[in-house]
Amino acid sequence: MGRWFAFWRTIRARRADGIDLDKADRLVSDSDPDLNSDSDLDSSSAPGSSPGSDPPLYGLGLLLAAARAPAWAEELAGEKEAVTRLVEARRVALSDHPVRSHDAQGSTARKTVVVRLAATLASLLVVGAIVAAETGSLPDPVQQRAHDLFSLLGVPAPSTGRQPGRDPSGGVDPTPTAPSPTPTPEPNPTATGTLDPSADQVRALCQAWNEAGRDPNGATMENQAWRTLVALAGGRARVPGLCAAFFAAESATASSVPPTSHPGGGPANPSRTAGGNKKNGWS
Amino acid sequence: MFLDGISALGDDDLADALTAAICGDRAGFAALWRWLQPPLLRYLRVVAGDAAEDVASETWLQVARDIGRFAGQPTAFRVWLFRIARHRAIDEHRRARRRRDGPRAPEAVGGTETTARDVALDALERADTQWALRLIASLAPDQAEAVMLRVVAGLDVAQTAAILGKRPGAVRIATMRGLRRLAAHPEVANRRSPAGRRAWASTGMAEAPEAEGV
Repeated sequence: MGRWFAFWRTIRARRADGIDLDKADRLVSDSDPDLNSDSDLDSSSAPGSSPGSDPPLYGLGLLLAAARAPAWAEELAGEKEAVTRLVEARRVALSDHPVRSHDAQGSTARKTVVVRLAATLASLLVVGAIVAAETGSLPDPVQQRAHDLFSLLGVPAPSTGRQPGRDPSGGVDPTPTAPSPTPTPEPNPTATGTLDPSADQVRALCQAWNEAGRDPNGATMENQAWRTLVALAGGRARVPGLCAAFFAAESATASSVPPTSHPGGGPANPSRTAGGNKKNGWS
Repeated sequence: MFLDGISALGDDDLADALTAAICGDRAGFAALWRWLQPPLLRYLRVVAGDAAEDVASETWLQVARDIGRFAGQPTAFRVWLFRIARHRAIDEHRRARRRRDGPRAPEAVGGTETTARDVALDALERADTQWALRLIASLAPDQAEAVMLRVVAGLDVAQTAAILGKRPGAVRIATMRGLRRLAAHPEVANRRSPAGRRAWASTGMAEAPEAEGV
């Protein structure tokens, strides 16, 4: 290793100019000792030179010194005219775009920060409202409005009724997986008369879908009605679950409440619907 | 032996001139121009040839227009000035090429740009600075630019790299290769001091280094 290093140094020293990266850095910054030595005095000690001769980089030193020499008169000729043009150009530029003070720049920066904060807060509010609507954390009227609004964006409606497995009566929840846009009717005669108005819409749509053959793509159903049903269910795949849950709830209500207590538009014979549901395996 | 370099200008002095020039002050512009016009002109003589003075004028006008947007320190101002100058020189090269390629361009008949530059420089051939600039201009463009920005503009490796859009290592290598070529140039290698000439004449030695592949 040591012999190889000595060989490499020998080869390197034999370069006629001896200029490597470090020496080049010194040469351009005028800090190389070869450039600042007096050839008449020091040339005998310079490598590769003979007594009385110039150091190897004497010519290069002259060239670099000449390149960085002080300005000559020709280079500074026309100063007055040049500066006049510059002042005029600057005056025009200043009239178009005045120099802003530091206060003005600070004010602009503050405005930018306020606008960004406001945009961030608005984004957080919108996202929060969507999440709250999806989880059913909003008050009932607001929840319904939010659902009507966000269901068009594909946000699934929450289950606002009993939670699966938490039925205090110990009964089996008819909607263990499918969300329902309407509160599950309680077995209370007074509650059945206050069904959410959208329940009529769901009933009508589900009946239409049922009568159209329950096509999963709604191909046999009227276009607008299918789109509305999909929006209410929160997605095409959730339509069967929505209608199954709805009719199951309707049948449960019908078993304890006379059919005449339902608002108009409901099925003429809920038991038939419930039976149909069971026949179709929806419950 | 060597004269004080033109790049040995204090950036502290430039700061005051810079502030004044931003506000449109004549004295500020005069100070900036007096300090930086000589190195700018020498750099442009190497990269733009005969068009150096026109390109320098365009450069300063752009500086005057946009100096309000400049928010850096004097050192950054030097980098900014030479970067503008380089871009203007590139534009000038394109214009000159279009003129040469044009059907009625008289320059296309007369000769090459190098010939025209040489003729212009020959008028001042005896001046050492002109001699140095002519030899540096004969280098490959990347080597010539690196040498000029480091030697004449007084910029360091990082600043030169920022202007040329290269890595610092590439700038160091280009500088080294440029210096090697200059050192091997016959007009440089055979340059002798009076004492060296006497010694050379008495011994008959001709130790001019051979040009190497760099």
